[in-house]
Parts: sequence; structure tokens; C-alpha cells
Amino acid sequence: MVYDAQGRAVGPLAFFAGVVGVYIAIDGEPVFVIVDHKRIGPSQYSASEYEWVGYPSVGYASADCSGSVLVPLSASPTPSIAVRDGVDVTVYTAVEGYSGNVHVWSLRQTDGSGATSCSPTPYDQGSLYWAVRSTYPLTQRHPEPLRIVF
Amino acid sequence: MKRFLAGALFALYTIAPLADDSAHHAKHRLLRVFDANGRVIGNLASFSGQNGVAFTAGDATTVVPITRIQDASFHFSATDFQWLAVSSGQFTSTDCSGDPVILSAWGPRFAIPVRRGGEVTVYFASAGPAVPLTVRSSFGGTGPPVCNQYPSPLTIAGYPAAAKLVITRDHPEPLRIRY
Repeated sequence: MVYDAQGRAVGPLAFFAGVVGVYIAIDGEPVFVIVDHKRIGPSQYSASEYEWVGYPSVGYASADCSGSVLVPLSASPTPSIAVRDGVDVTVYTAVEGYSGNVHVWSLRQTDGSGATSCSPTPYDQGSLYWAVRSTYPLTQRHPEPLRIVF
Repeated sequence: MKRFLAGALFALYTIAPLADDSAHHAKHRLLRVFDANGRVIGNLASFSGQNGVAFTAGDATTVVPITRIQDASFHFSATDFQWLAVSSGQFTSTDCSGDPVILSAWGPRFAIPVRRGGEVTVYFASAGPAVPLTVRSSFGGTGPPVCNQYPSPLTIAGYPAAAKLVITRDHPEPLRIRY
């Protein structure tokens, strides 16, 4: 079971496509969010505390990472992306239907130290992305650090 | 009386965690895989890093993997999944009839889901080690799945099928993962 900082049960620890995380119901749909050891420094991790894992690469329709986040093909029953902005993690879920009705012309990337940079993409990567259906304030609902208990 | 009290306390002690567990189950429902008719196929399972549904034939259980559906232009569905099956096989017969030889390593029991003629059939390997099998025909590869008879028989190591299940017969695709 995964517990949040307030001691509330988020859900049972689960595996999706070989990755460790937990399912959260958003609009009644199962969304898989990855958890990992809490990062304390550039390559330092807490032995006991966990945190939500944001995607290292976030796609935007603009060429400069401005505007709305788009949802990539991801390891979740409903495609979704967890985006970390400092201590806040927000989950965005995909609209129904097929990917490819959006454009992706830039990626905001987070490196191993947590620093972010924006780079334009050489071609439109929208075929692997969806528009956002719902926005879920993950760390507001389930604050970090997380604990895993068997 | 003392013994009765101790027994009652022990009973409470053992029941309490069970009650707690069932409360968790009510709140955190299991994920299940549904067929095109909205009927439950089974719980979402995970084996060797693959999502799927467990099927059992006799004493053999295997997790048949599922994958997100792609359209002709390689766009992915946000909601729909299908069985991850191969569209090829080798046969001991000369005309691709009978069961294919099982070569791949899905598990727990070795098995292979094969997509052929609009149906997906899961073949379960017989128990025990791989054995030499003489194959005489195959279908699949690139292009339409036509049967090719081998110019001469070939001996390969594989598992004969012990059981099979036509999983699309009762549970048509597309599949969905829901609570």
C-alpha cells in the first residue's frame, strides 16, 4: 500500500508495464502514476521516503514550451503525464480517441539534477500525443513524501 | 472465564486486520480487463513486465499480454487494447493444420497467443522440457499470412501444445482496462 504524507492510503502498490507505481481514479478512469525513492540531491535518494515521478520530457504545441502541456503515449491504462514543477506535481489525462490530433514542436526536458531546459523538435511529434482532458493536482491531494508499506 | 476472554481477544485481534483489508478493497478496487461487449475477462495481471490477463487450461496458467491498439496511420487509441499475439507459426503438418509448435517464452506456463483468421488462440506448452519436433510448414512473416510447405522437413526444439483456448470467441476485441 502507498501512503501519502498525511498517512492516507493512496492505493495498493502496482505494476504497469514493469514499472512500480499506484493507480489513481481521475474521472472514474484508472491512471497509473510512477513512484520512486525521493531524490534529495543530484544523485542522492532517501532509503525510506518516496515521491511522485514526473516525466523527464514534456511536449508542447508551441516552439518554446509555452502554452498547454500535451499527453504522451505513456505507461497507464488511460494515457497521462505527471509534470513536476518544484514541489508541485500535476497529472494531465488524455482525451478519448486516437493520438495525433495535436502538434508537438518543443520539449521541456528535466535532467538528472532536476534542471529543466526547452528545446524545439526537428519535426512534429504530435502523432504520439493527445490533448488534455483533465488536470489533477496530485501533490495537493496526496502530499509527499510517500511511504510504501506491505 | 479467563480462557474465554483470552480467546475472544485473540479472535478480535485476528479479525481486525481482515476488516481493515476489506475496507481497503472497497476503496481501492481491482483493475479488470473488459471485452468489446463490456463483459469482464479477468483482473489486469502483470508478468515479466507485460500487462495482460491470466488464462488457465488444466494445470497450466499463462498471462496473455495486451497492447494498445494502433490505427493504420500508427496513431494510438487512448482507451482500446488488443491481445498481443503473433501472426505466424510452424507446424508438424504440411498444410499448417493442427497446433503450431510453441517456441516463445510467455509465462508462467510457456504459451503463445496466435492471431489467425480473425481469431486469437492461446496455445499452452505441454509440461517438461523442449523436445525435437519435425516441422513441415509455416505461415506468417511479412505480407498476408499464407501457408508455405517446407521443401524438406526441419527438426527444431520446441514444445508441443497441451491445450488451447480461443480467447476472442467469448471475448471479442477491443479490450478496455477499467475499475
